[in-house]
Amino acid sequence: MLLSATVCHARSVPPLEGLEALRKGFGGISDFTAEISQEKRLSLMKRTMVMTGTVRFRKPDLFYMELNPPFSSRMLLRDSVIEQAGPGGGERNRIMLPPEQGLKRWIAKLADPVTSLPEGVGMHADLSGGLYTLTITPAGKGQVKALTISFLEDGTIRRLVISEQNGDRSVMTFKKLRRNVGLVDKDFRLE
Amino acid sequence: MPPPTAPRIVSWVHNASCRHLEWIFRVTTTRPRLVMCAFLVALALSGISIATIRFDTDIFHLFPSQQPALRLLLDSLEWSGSAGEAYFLLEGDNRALPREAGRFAERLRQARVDGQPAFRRITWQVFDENQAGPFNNLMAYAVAHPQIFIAPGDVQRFSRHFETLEVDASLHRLQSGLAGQFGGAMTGLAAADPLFLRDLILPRLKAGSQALDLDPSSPYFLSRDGKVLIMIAEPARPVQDMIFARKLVAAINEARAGAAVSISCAGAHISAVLDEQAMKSNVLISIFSSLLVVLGIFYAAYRRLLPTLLIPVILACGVILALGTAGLFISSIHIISFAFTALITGIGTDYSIHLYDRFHSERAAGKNTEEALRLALLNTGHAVFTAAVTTALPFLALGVSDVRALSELGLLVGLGVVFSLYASLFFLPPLLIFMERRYPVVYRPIPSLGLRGVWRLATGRPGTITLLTLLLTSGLCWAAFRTSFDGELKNLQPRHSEAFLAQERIERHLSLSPKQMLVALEGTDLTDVLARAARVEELAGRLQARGEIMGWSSLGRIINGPAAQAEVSRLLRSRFADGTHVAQRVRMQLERQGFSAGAFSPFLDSIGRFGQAAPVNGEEAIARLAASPLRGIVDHHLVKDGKGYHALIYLHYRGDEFRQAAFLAELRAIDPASRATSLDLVSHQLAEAVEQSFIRAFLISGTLELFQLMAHFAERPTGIFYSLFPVIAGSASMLGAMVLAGMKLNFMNAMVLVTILGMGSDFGLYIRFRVCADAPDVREAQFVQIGRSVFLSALTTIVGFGSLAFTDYGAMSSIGWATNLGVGFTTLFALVTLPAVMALFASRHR
Repeated sequence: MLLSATVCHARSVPPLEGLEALRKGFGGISDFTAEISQEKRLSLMKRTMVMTGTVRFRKPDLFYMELNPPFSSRMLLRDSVIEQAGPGGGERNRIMLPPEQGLKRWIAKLADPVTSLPEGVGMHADLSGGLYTLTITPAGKGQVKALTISFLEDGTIRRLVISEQNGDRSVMTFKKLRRNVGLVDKDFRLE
Repeated sequence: MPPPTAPRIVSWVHNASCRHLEWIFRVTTTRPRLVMCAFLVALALSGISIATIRFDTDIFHLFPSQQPALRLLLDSLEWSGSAGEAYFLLEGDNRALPREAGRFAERLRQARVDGQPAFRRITWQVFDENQAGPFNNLMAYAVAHPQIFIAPGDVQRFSRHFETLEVDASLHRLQSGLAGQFGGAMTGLAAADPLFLRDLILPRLKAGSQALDLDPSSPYFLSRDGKVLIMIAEPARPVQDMIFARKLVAAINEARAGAAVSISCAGAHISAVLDEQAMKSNVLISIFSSLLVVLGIFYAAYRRLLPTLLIPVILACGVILALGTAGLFISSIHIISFAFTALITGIGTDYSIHLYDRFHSERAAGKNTEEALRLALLNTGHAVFTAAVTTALPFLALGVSDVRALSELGLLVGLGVVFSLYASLFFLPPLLIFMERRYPVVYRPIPSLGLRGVWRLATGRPGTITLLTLLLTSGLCWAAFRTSFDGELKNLQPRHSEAFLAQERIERHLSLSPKQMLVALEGTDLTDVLARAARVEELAGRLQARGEIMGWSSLGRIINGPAAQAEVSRLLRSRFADGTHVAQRVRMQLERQGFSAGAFSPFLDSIGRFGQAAPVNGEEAIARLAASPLRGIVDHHLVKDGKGYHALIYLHYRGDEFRQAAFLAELRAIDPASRATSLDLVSHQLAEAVEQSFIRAFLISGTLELFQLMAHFAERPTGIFYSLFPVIAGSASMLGAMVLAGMKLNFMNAMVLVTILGMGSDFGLYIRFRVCADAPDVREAQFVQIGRSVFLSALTTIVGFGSLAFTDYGAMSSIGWATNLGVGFTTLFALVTLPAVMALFASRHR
């Protein structure tokens, strides 16, 4: 009985509340850096890939990720354009996302209070000991099956899970997250 | 001995003209009601004929489509469908462009015409999630069939990708890529091509896929300078459906209302509707403004209301009867040709001026109504008749032109001139008789408008005036030799039309090169067509190597032709003779690096088949491309229709460094059945057609006009000189003045050289015809009377053409300016130089 009284159980909260919590928490963040560890389970690979690295983010549309060896690579998302550089900065790869999936657009959506759920997506929210877990499931036949983001009330992201239609799954865990450190343009360069 | 045939004909024509005018005088003065009834019947019949005429708006229909270059240009527009596409240019804050483009695209998708979607397709962004699968399929096919997609020179690099170290490096790169990817966007592509063979294929596909010069880093169709975002849409119905086109433009205007960025549009639908609107507005403004000014001039000079009000009736009759008669010969009239009937306002008023001025002058001189009318109709009327015929002939002679714009213009204006003359001859006498009975007035002398002073000056200093004329003409003649020809068709379009300006901006911001030539190889057998295209591609390669062209695109730049495929297949067979072993080794390397080799089975199987590589049927390769996101490349470069296959090669060039004549000769030697087109070639061939039309019309109208002048001046042959001198000197001066003003001849205003001959010869004719007395004071009075008519006629002609000069249409404006200069100089020489020449001749005779 004593134990059950101290364990924090996850309870469902209205999705709108979860989304608003994310919005509010994110509202106070202009940039952040963090260390990450990532686990990727891909149909092309026999074993789960485990990797570490760092990420940087700056509003409204910059996201940078650098992975450590043996999978060393760097990735820069500038709104809807992803640039990837291989080991040693060798081959560059550029991928263009659909404009409506651009980072700026998502961040802009977080600028105003959320009064209704976005159309075309399913949403589920849990709250457990101050940790929100928001699961977004886009409708339609897109590549992403579900996106789960876990975050604290102050906007600190803890975990990001991307599940795909083909069974592939990535789990990214954030550590040592530092907010509003004053990141500048040179922190978002692939060179 | 009977007189020779020519003089007999001349004499017969002269007498017939006089008898004809006498008949008109008789019938109009004795049976006016019958005349009115006959005219009403003719107008009713014309109305029926006009109802059968179709008014055409397609600009390309103005030019002779049997010209090879224009024919191919029209074919290619039809094939590519670009003739029917609508282009939207979004300009403004480049951060706002994507957002506004998204909004606008959504509004266009929602736009409806008659309850149906207005557009079939709207494209404005590079990415389309639905295309990822087909793209991966194409890559899987391409790496399995390198003989189609790898250039022969790249086979060595291709085979190096399969060396042990290279495979390891590629797989390491793949691992990093998969680890670093956000989501699983590249998983499908990785399975299709784990060794990055696409590095040899994609640059080639990319180079061949660009029809516009776009920013490669942008997910939108954005110009490299980031200033313009282009959206391409396919309207639901063809441009020929003008009712749909008008509703479409209304829907577009609604969709772009309130946008935060500037949105302009181009394309056939928009151009047709906006040009039609611009044309209608231009024509209406021209007609009404020139009519108002012409009526104002007439009333100011003669102060009689009813004759002034008769002028619009005469002009309307001229236009209606001309259109009705033209409808008997042609089933459709282009709207631009129709616009030129505005010229009748200026020319058609001349006859009323001459007839009424003579009548009024004679009445003021004391003649009774019948005598004044007889002199006006039979004496001045004879000159008017000859002048109208000499004016109409050059216009009608243009009817033989192959260029539709010119033939219809000539026919309509020529007939309009003739019918305006007859309307003047038939309507004016009954009206004047009616006025005399109903509203009798005391006729006072009409102001001389300064012409008495002109006569005295010219006859007082004939030598000086003649010398000054010669100096002026010589100077302008010298300048005229520097006349140049402007072959740019776009300069004939409305200069401020939205469609025209948007098209210009597309060329400035998004064109791969300033100019483009299209070469078509056609036939029923695809393999043969592609093989022939490959020979032209070799030639294009040499041109690029020599720096004559900036680049070129064709299907052969993307997929190999039969010969190149055979070569690549031979090399693959020799390098992958043990392909099964290579596949086995790659499989082991995949396993060793932690990959699940089973996921790569199709790729590994294809390696095993490289040892038996053989050329692939062209149709299969093209079908694969057509099923991928690169379908546009196929559509752009290969067309199949009822006549067979058309392989299209585009050569991009800057200007004169591309020696087109030499290229075309070489092309004919390689493939005599090939066709080529470019705007330069179209302009060149049109210039030739216009030149031929010009020479033909000049010879026909010149001969007939000379004959008519000989008939008119049968008893006074010097009249031919008097008629022709002002117009010849005026035409040369017109060309010289155009050079000095920086104006050039073009396809349309070149014809003014023909028509000015007819219009300008009238002035000298009238003066020589009328100024015939021996007594100096009578000669002066005669000059003042006819000079005033000539001056007012020239003024109304200038007003008629002047209204064109200020229109937005380059074609009409250039004609307006050229004619105004020509008429202006001709009037100057007729009113100032001719009296001086007369005085010189008179002093010699004395």
